[in-house]
Amino acid sequence: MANNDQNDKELNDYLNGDSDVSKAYRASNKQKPSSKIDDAIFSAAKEAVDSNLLKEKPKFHKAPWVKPVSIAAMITLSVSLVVTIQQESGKPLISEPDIEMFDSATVIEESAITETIISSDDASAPAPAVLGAAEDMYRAEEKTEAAKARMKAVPAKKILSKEKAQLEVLKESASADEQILPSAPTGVEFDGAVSIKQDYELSMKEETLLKIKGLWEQGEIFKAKETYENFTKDYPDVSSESIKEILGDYIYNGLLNN
Amino acid sequence: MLRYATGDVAAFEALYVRHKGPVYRYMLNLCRNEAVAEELYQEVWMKLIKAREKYQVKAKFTTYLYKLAHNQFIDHYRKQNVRIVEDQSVEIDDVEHGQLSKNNPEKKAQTNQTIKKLSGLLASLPNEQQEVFLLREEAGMSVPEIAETLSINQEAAKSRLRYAISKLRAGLSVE
Repeated sequence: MANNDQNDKELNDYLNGDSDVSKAYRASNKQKPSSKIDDAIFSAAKEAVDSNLLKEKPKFHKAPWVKPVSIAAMITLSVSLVVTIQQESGKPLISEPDIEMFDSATVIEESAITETIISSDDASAPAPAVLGAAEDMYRAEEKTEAAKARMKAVPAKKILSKEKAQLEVLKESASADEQILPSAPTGVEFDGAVSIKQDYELSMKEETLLKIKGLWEQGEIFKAKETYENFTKDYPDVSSESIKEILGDYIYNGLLNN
Repeated sequence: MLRYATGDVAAFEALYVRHKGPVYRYMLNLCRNEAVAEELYQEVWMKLIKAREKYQVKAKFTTYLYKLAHNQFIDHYRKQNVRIVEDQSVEIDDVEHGQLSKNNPEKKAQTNQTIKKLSGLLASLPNEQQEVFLLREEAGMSVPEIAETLSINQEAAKSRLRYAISKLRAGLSVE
């Protein structure tokens, strides 16, 4: 117990700096590392900092915004390239299933309209021959309006393929009419199938010419001319007067001259 | 150290100059072999240089530095399969302690003799006692700081230091 107390006292004295042991130790221990070791450590410390600075330089070039911006630029370029190619080739942007859905929906709609027209024709007495032209015009207008309304209802991405879709719908409708109409009354005065076909063709002609006009007005001269050439091939029977009526003399002459 | 982590080499040099002697003597007294001590000493500073970017202020820098030194010493001796002399303080005979701890003031005058004697006494201490003594003498650490550096509790640190001082004093007092 007495020894422990003495040890504690010695320790306290030592910790307070009042100890022969400390004095003797400090007097005896004055060794230092050689200057060679000092230099080696200094140069290692300096090299570590220098190499760190070298490592940091590429980091500056690889700024955090570079990668996302590169990806964004790549996506933008890719999308614009695809759109341009598809516009040039005339293929739709929407996928095949979308077109099928759109077609089937519009075919049903179109069939309903056709049936309505036919049934109304059935219900009424055979139309006089003199009414044929007027009725044709009226129906053509009606169909054009209906087609436009449908086109407006189509989502934006489908608008790009509206021409194809409309063509498909109307073709389907015409073929459906052809199937239905043989059983319908085939009076000499009024032939429903012929009338609808004529309506369809008329509306298509008008649509195409309006499209050509639009292209011309938008400055797409080459496209307008190309479409016009296709139009004249598809509808050689359309008179230049009828074309001029829709396009106007200026555009018509421009198309021929260019 | 934080300044050095940001690339200030002069800050490292200041740290090195302040601590080089104590760390070197700590290592030399523990190893008792100059070549080994120099190798371990360099390793400590190299580790410090490598750790500069990850360094965080959690304790005194001195504690951090001597922890590195302590671990370096332990790792070296584990690799060498050298058995570090275990702390046998608790088994030391109290009677023997009592005889050794007799103080003799006349010995203070015999400086050269004392220095030689102390060196021998220090070498004869168990490594654990040597280490606490060296941390106190070279790094100027308090008992809690020694405990933190060696990852031991304060009572153990105090006990080791008490026995080390007692043995050294007793040894010095013997003619």
